[in-house]
Amino acid sequence: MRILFLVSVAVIATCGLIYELIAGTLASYLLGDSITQFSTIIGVYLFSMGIGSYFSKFVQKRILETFIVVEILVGLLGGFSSTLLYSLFNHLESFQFFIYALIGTIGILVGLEIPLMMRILKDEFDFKDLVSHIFSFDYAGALLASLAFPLFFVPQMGLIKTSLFFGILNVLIALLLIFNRKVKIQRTRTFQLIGTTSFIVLLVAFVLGDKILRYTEDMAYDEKVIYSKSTPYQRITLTSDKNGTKLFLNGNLQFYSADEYRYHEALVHPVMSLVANPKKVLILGGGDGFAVRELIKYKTIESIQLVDLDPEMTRLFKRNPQLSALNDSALFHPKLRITNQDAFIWLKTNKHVYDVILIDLPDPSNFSLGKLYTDQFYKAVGEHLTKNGALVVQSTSPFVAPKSYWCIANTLQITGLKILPYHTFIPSFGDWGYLLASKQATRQPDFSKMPSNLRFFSPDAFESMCYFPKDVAYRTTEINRLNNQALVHYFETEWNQFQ
Amino acid sequence: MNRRSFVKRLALGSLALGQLNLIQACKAPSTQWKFKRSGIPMSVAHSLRSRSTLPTPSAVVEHDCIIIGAGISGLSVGYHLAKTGATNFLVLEMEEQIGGNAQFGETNTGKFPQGAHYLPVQNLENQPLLDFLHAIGSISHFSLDGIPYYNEANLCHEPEERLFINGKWHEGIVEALLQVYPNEKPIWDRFFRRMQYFQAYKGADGKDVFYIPERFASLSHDLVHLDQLSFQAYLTENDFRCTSLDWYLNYCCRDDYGQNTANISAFAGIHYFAARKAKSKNCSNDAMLTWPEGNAFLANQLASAFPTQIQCTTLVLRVQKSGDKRYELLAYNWKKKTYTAYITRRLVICTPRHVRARLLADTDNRNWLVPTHQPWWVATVELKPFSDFSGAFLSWDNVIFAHQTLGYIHNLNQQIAQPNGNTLLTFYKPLDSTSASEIRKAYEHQTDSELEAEIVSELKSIYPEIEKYICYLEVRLWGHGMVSPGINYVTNPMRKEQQKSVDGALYFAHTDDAGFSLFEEAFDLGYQLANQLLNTNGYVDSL
Ligand SMILES: Cc1cc2nc3c(=O)[nH]c(=O)nc-3n(C[C@H](O)[C@H](O)[C@H](O)COP(=O)(O)OP(=O)(O)OC[C@H]3O[C@@H](n4cnc5c(N)ncnc54)[C@H](O)[C@@H]3O)c2cc1C
Repeated sequence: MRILFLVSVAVIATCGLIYELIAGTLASYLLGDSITQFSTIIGVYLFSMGIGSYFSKFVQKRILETFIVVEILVGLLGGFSSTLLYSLFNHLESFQFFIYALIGTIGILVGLEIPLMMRILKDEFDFKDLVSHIFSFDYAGALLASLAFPLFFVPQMGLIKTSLFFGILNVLIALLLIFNRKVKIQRTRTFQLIGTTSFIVLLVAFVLGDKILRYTEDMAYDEKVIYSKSTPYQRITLTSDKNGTKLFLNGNLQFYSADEYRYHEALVHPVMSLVANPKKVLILGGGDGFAVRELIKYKTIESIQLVDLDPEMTRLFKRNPQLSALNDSALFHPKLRITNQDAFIWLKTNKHVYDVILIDLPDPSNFSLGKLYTDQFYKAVGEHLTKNGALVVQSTSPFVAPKSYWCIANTLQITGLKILPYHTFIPSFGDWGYLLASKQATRQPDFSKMPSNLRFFSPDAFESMCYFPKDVAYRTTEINRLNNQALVHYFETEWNQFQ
Repeated sequence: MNRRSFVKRLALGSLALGQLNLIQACKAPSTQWKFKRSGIPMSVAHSLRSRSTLPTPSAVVEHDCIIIGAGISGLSVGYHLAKTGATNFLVLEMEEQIGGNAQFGETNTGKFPQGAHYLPVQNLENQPLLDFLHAIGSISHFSLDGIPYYNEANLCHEPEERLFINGKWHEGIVEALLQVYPNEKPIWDRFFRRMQYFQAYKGADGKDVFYIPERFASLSHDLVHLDQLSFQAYLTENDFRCTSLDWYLNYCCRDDYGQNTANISAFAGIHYFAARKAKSKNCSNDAMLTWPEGNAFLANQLASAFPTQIQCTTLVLRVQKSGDKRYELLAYNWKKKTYTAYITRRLVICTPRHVRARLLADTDNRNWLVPTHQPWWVATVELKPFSDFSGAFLSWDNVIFAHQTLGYIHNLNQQIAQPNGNTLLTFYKPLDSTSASEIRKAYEHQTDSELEAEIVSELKSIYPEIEKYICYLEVRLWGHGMVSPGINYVTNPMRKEQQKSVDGALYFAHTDDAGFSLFEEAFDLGYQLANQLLNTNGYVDSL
């Protein structure tokens, strides 16, 4: 009897900590910002446990029965917690509130467990033995949970199955008490029925865990929004489907993880091959870290300066595990310096020069963004380029918006830069254009130093990228200036026609 | 395959026809804001009038040259003196800030004008101003034949203007009107052909009759008859009348002169359209230079040539003769609450004419020709994120058809940084419902909260929802806005006569003297006066 109770203390403690870890992980996974999520979840959970402990004193009679009810409830709620959180993520207006309500309820129930247990065992032990036993088993369980959760359960079972597994353990404790002859409780029939049903429900769910996972993930991620936040500068939206993740800024697709490597390899490697020995690189925009990921394949680079307007972007792509897995945690690279500032202002207030400059800014879809494609902007960029340096500009689709594309080209040229246009096919974007530019007459890039582990880009591919068939061929356009914003007008018209 | 189509831009029409709707774009709106009335306190300004009880000064200061008024005219005198190395002059200004009608305000979000806010690209004769613009970087360089390349950063950024008409924003103003009133186009065409005729019209001396600045215009006023009738009468006579053109011309006159076509002379009305013949290499010939803080930028550039020689919060109360060819001024520093006497051999008065007349009441009581000045209010609001998706994009100049308020300037339009939320809009309204003096009287006793309520209700007549978005409201009331060139002011011989200096000791420069309240005129008057001072025997000697 005593051993049974003490083992159940350890199990209870393990389960309790596991639910908290699950909620914290899911919250930071679904809502981002793991530090805040984890600490608020832990706070709410501990506080609720306190409430539970306090209320345990109001349980006057039938302590054992109450304990069994609590176990079954914890088992069900905790067991299904991650299933619930996954599947309700997109269907609840106030998901945040829901997650706290759930964790709060579980916390209260778990808070009841130990005090009740102590009262059940108060006649079995001396008080000092009781306290020391209970707490040592409690803490041992906690250690077990905190080690097993990341090392075994999450990698082996995933979150859904893990929580179901511990739900089953909770219910098992209840069942052991219910079916143990030595334990004297009233209304055993009802308990037997409820306990067994709960056990079976959880067990079935556990066995079907993979199917549940797929179902809930579908519900959550089938081109569904998994993250959305309005910053002072833009609306950041992440969606996901079976094949990958998409990022939208103000509703414009920025990348699709299934084919972004095409976009970023084509952005980075030509310009890197155009400069003899690039040491210092500047990225304007590119807070998603993909361009950095490509750059750090060059061991010769000494420093990378990234200037992205929106701290939320760089934070998201650093901290969110799903996203930093996509960019290989590039934003943590020791050679990288991130500055969250307006690119135009940064250019005007800094003096450093760079061998390579990557301009990966959002499309010129409004007048504010249009300013980042003007001759004034490129003049400012040119002042940061070394004599033999080169830059590349992501420059919309020459197929959908040929006037826009060539307007950017002509604007670069008017500032005295020599240009080399190229384009490539990216399934989620279509035919996409880039512009290389340098102060010296354009040579062909020398690809001998290019990293070998690329998935898409190759020197012969580049040859074809430089070819512009008739429908995307050069056109004369106006120069994009602050006082005419010719590009924004072209862009508006061409993309509207295309839709 | 489409990079943009995830969420299409909503083109929500306005819900109540003819009214603009703000659509909340971000945080929850509130109704709390900070209110500020800028400018010298009314009570202080009025001490100029009650002159009977003037105290004796606590100090006496002597100066070779004193300039009263740090508006553009006074600043231009100082700038051109300072450019030659002169330092023996002092500018006295009653406001806390220099610039006169070209002052500015500022919040964390950005700067905004309190009055004058733009300068068109310049006529080529105006070399001193071209030089100045070159010196401050607003002209980057000149072509070999002397045509300027303007600094794009200072040219008005796209989108430049839009008009709210028929419940929708339309790009452009004239374009928009013609879109709504296509039948009236022939009248417009005739009108503009006539204006072109005047643009090229030369006087007997072979010079253009309409030219800015006035110095280069023809002296033979053979179009004097046009100054004897109102612009409205002229338009009626020539059958240049239709709904859209009527509104447009009234708008133009109210915008530049503070009064509608009925109260402006035909000469002045035509001047608006015929006096500009700028050329530029890299922008259209009617392009505009502008800065977030408006012409205060130019004022501060002028003042940076002699920053320590300007004394603000110093209201000159009276000017008296002090012996032969010397003047004694009594000035009140309303911040320090001190009275000082200034004695000078050269006094330059750069205030409006009515102030000039009052200051000189004891010394020179001739019958001054004083023009009408229309009162204005200029109100700047900082708004929380909003959008008014009903047609054309938010532009630099946003004009509202058939509304008492002219419209508003979007001050962040000139900003190169990406916007990060709040917007700063400056609304302009000339107060021309009745006579200027009656309006001034009405405003004299208005409390700050009454003024605030009036402005808010006016803004609500444009944007009914605006209160929810305001987080800051600053109002500048101009009792005497700018000169309104009414009938027989510009060509009145007394105008020029009364600008002449007196005894080589008393000088005048203010846009009232030009008849047109324009930066160019103020700048040029200052330029001429500085040269006159420098050429006067004794000035350079006394350096
Ligand atoms: C609302 C508004 C908008 C305008 N917009 C434009 C525009 O966009 N572009 C443009 O070119 N023009 C504009 N103007 C016209 C503008 O007035 C002129 O361009 C120019 O700034 C006038 O300069 P000024 O020096 O002649 O006169 P003011 O600006 O009138 O200068 C007179 C100065 O004298 C000071 N003063 C007066 N009395 C005393 C005293 N007793 N003691 C000490 N100091 C005194 C005043 O405080 C002031 O600083 C605008 C005017 C107004 C009112």
